[in-house]
Amino acid sequence: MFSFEITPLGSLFFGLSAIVFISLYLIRKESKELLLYTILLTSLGFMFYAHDFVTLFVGWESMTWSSYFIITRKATIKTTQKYIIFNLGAGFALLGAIVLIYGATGTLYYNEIDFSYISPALRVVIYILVFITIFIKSGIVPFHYWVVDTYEESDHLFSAILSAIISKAGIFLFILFFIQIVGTQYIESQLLDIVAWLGVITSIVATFKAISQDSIKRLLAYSSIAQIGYIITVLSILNGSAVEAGLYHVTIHIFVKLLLFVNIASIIYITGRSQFSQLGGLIYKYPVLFFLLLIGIIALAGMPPLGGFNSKFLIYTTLLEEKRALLLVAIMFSSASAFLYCFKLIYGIYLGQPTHSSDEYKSLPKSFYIAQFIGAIVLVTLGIFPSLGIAISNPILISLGFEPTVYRTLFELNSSFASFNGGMIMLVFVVVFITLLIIVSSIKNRAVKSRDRLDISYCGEVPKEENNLHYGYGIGEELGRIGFIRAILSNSVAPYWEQLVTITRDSSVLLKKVYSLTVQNIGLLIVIFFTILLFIGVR
Amino acid sequence: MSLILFVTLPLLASFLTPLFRDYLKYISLALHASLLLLAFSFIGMLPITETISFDSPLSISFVLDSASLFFVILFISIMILFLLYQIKESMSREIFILTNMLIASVSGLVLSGDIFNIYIFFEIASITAYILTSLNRDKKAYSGAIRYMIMGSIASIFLLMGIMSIYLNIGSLSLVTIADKFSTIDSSTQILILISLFIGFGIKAEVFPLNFWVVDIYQASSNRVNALFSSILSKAYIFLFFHIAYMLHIDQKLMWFLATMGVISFAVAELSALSSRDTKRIFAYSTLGQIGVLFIALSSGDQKALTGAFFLIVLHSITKLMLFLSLDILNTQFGSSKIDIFSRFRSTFLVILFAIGFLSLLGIPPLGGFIAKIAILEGLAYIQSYYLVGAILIISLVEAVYFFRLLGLTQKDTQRDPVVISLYHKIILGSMALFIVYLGLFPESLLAICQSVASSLLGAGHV
Repeated sequence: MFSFEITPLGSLFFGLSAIVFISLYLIRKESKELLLYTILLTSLGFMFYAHDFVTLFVGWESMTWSSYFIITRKATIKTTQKYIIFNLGAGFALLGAIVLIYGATGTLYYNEIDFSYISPALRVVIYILVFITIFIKSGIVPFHYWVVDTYEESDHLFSAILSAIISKAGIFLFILFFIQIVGTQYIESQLLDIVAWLGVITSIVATFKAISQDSIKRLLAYSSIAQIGYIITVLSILNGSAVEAGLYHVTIHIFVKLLLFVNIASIIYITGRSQFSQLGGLIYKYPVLFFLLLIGIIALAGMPPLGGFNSKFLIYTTLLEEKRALLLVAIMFSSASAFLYCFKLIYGIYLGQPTHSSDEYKSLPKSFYIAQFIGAIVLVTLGIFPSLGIAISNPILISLGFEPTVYRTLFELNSSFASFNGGMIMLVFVVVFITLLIIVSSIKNRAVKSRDRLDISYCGEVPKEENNLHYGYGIGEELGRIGFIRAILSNSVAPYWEQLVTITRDSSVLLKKVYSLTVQNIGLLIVIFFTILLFIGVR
Repeated sequence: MSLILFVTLPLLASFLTPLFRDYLKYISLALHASLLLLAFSFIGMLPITETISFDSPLSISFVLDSASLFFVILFISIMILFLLYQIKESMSREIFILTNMLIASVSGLVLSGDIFNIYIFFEIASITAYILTSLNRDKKAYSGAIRYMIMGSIASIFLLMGIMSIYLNIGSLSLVTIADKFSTIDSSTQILILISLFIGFGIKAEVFPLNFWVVDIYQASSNRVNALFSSILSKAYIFLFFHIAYMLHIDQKLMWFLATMGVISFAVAELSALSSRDTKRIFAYSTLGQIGVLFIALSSGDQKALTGAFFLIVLHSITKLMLFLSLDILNTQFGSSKIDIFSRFRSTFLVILFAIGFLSLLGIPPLGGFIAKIAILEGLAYIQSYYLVGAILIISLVEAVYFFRLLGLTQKDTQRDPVVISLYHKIILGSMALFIVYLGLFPESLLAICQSVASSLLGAGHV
């Protein structure tokens, strides 16, 4: 019944998932949860290596329900309901597309499906259904309603899987369905334009929402949504370099989010706090965690010398090659705004004055560091050897029927517009960094050593225990003064979805009444029904 | 070996009840096992027609084709599981007689080759059901039984009206003759007959808008009885409904009407379940919803969709048996059937059972329900009934809301009491759950059987 095929595309996604899972296995020790994790990884295997749509769908839905049982261990019923209804909706949309394809072509094997047999109208319906599936799973506006709460309330480590792996299932489906199976010539370009703009809107909206969050995990959740927005936008171009850029960004984002979520999980594990307003100054006690987070946000912001820059570079050049200047400007705008939340992340948690004393801190198990180091090492390596990502994605490009990208050395990443040498940049950075470090540490420190965290009386003021000494959480509050950002921040899709829930519930209460009618009334209704049928029938 | 044994053996055993007294449960089990063997012995010899003539119109004729054999085997197997489940408890005489009568009547319903006998078995099944409803012996049960009786009588009146008009116009009660000559009747009488039969059988087959009475009955009866109603009785009537529909070659427009009624059944039932706060009622609504799906699939006339429908019938019978029996454990322990019992028990075993049952009913892979669902949807897409595909998918989402709410309640952090389930019950319930998983992973053999059943139903009337 199931058929599988090992493809470069599936292998990349499965390999990346396996790395994330293994690094999290090291931290989690509870057997019930590990069983569910294993089911989840198996279902991902089904999905990534499937050769027909039924196998794909089995993997897809198993992913949904096995995650459900993990999420439901921590989250409230409202959140899990939101998660499962949206994701089952995605699954059923996919199922709808699958049966429509079957009805039109009579087969469900990837290589046998020929989209030229399907009428254009039906084709568009199928595409829209698949896009809805992708959008829900990846959390594209306006289907992102379930994402943030789920990420926030899930187990801290499972949020890493949700953000790093599960959200990528949508990207995988995008590449598989629209590039491998459909082929570029059967898609209406208007549809792709809409998708591209949805991606951009998603990234802008999510970026500003992220900046205004007080909960760290909510910030990361919005940042995930924004990053997926970039990928969707660039993939909608549907050519070789778009796939390359998309896959590169997928890889980077997986490791960035693994690093960041495990880092935040460590912080929450240590302090038991998860809000920016309750944290600050942790660099003094946890410099290694600080450094790891620094690597994560440099990559997340897409700055050199780390891997994050390479994928952003590829995204920008792909958009430039296609002369999609407006998209490019919008993405750059959102990408630049992302610096703000990246900075909030590191400043709010690690810098400034500590907000509370460190007596109650728990000690962190070593296993928490392993996952972060894996992410950091990959990001640094990709920064030094940018074309390593190209070397990995080339077999995928070939298998999808695109020209592979030529590169001279692993150090160099080139496009038709520009090229740069990652190794050289890294070398310069390291040299400058070390020089600065030496200079700074050789300057004699004349600062007064403080007795405890409240000893800042040389500032002319004696704070009390409850005074917050760190304003890291306030970053982004002023942004609300800008008109369109205020519009983004004050609007939400939530009321619309909740309206839908209310309508359904109200109609339910109304309809339920027919099932508690008295028997006389039911008999009367049946006779009336009989008469109506007779009347219609005789006519 | 005669087909009439399927009816006479259980009835005979019921008459001999005073002789047995003790060991009723073993005799009942042995009886059903021998009936199952009997059914299996007919497998190679299909189709068989048997006629016992008295006077010309009043003959008894039985037809065994792969469809009716499929249902007979299904019903007897479900009944055996049901009996095995309570083998450790003493069996009252009522239960012995009523289960026998139920099996005799549903076998008679699916085997009968003439419409008058169908009416007789229809009545026997109804009477059995009334008494089964009242078994709880409290006010609710009696009032439920009376309601049931009134609805059953209305159904009988319409059915009798239809049968009378058929006999007056054709002069025969044999289904084959009726199928042959039905088109010769003038069209307005045809319509009267079809509508009467639709209402008569529709009330029992629990299709919208004739199913308003069902949920109250489910709430009045005990869970074990509900398991029988949901797994056996409603399935027999649905088969009968479509058996006759295909025999009479009713035209495409009417089939479309039936499909629409199926969609409305499904939608209204699932929406109603959404705000229900009583587990028995929720399960009853879910049964009504599944019946809606069966109506959609069975009225499509497509081989693949029908195959899926029969697969769904098997699965739904087993799933609902398992779910109602599990619910019974909870209801007895907590003395309530409100949904908050789901947040009061602690038992991983039951949670897994409910999860498998619910996910299978929703058609989520890799469970059996998925195979049925995708077969139905593929069949519907193949005949280009896209709106039915959309309807099933969207309404399933509503179904998911309340099933997952129940599952979510089992995971909530609340004060919980452990549930006592004997190992024996665990084995029986667990094997049903395993069977559902098994059917999801290895559906081929059952699919092949369902396919032959589907072609037998589609070929009905061509004999």
